Amino acid sequence: MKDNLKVILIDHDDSFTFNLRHWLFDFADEVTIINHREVSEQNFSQFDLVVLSPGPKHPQDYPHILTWLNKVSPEKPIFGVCLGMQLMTISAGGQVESYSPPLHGKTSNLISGSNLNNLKVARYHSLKCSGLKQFDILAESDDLPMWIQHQEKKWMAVQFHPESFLTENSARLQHHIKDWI
Amino acid sequence: MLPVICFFENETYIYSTDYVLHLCPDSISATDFLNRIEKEFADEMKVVQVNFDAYNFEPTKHQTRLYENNKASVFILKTFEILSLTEIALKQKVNTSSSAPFQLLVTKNEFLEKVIQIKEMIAAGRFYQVNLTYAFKALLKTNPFDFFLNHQANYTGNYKAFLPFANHSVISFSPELFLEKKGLTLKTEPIKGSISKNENSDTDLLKSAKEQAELSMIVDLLRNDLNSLETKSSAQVTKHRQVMNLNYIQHTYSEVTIQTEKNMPFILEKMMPGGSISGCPKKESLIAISELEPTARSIYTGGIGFWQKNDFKLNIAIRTFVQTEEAYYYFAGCGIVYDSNPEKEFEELINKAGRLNVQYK
Repeated sequence: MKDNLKVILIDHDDSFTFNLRHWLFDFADEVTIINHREVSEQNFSQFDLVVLSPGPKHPQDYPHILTWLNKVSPEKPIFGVCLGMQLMTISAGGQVESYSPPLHGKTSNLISGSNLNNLKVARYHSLKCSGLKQFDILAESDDLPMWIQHQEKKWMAVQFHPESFLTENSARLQHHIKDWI
Repeated sequence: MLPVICFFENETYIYSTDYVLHLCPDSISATDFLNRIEKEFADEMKVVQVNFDAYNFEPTKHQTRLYENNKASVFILKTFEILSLTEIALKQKVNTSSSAPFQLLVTKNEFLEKVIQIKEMIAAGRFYQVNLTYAFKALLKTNPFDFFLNHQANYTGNYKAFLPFANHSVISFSPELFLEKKGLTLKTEPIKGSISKNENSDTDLLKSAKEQAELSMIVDLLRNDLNSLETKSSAQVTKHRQVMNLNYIQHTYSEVTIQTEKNMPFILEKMMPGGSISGCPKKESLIAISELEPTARSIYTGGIGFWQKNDFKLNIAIRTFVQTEEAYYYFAGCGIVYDSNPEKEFEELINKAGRLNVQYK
């Protein structure tokens, strides 16, 4: 783990972006926020980690982010939350479909082979990811992937919201992210 | 001159008949206006009113305006007293108000359809919650100050205010604290989750997974808005799902705080309109509100309160009447989530009118 960790957070016009910024401050020294519309002009080389925020609508509504994901170096560490995970899923040839009934502001427990097993996590989603052939599934809930890691690219993502006040012990996930970077 | 009245603390009120009213011109931003006021009148006690769309006017431009008003207004109080409402009522003769039915400006069927439409948008991933509101109108000509004093006991709540303007008056019986800043502590107390007094009381309200989720997502939203102010301190949830017992309805509310040195104009620009009366994610909800609601909210769901030096306290202007020369308007709304039952939401809308004689088609 390197000192002075610099993070860039891509905001998809979400209302939890600043919660995520404060959550990242627990292990990052600097967090820069840019809007998703600015992604093509941004130089990412100075950042140790890119974070894709949650956000409204469907990943297909953000074609510029999908384009960027397809061309970014596979070594660049990218962490996705909710919509962020759905964007990675589409980019890696998976599917994002509607999930009914949606879970918004509700919690469920993770099933995981890691120390995240049984953690109560906050969920805000009406879409679900499937066809994750390029990913390892590190945690599930209600038979849905909740925490995934790409097998080749330096990508990790969660469907749940680690920054929510409803999520318990999210410091454990922070440790995993630090080790993974 | 009609008095200005604004909640203060411990059931006392700021009361003034000696004030100067400053109105925010269209040509400048609410932030510039409030910064100018702060510079010139920092030490004076001020009563402030800021519209729901004061910072985000563009999407609401096509909506009908029921009355004309400025996006922000400040009463500079040259002198004022701190009084109870009983003492205020003794100040001058209070006449009985005449009454008239309040007609809901949407049909029940249209309301139900809007709720179903919102649920479809939620399923498609557009947002998690939207606050849907409507106006009631009564052809009533009665003195607004009398109306305030005659009706205030029907709406228990800590954040009542009476504001007289040239062509309209605002009568607010709000139970909701938007923001309070005392020293470096900034606090918000969002209300979400409601149950009629006829139903099985607070246990049902606390048991409901739907009402719990409705409040939780707004707590995350307000944590976010408070966290947007600071990088060195973080928002804390200091109370969650407390029951608020009003005499016409029951609610749940939470409390979120942060430490900040920022001033009121900056804080309002970052935090208005309040999360509990917008929806989540907020940006997308505000666009949806301007598409779904036929009339602009203006004063309703904005903020009203007092401001002196760096301390201030603003309500969310709900349970609020606007009196014009032709009519009285009242407003009510509900947070719509995926689990919302359209009929229940309609009941909630009517419950929020309290003991008002309401009519709908």
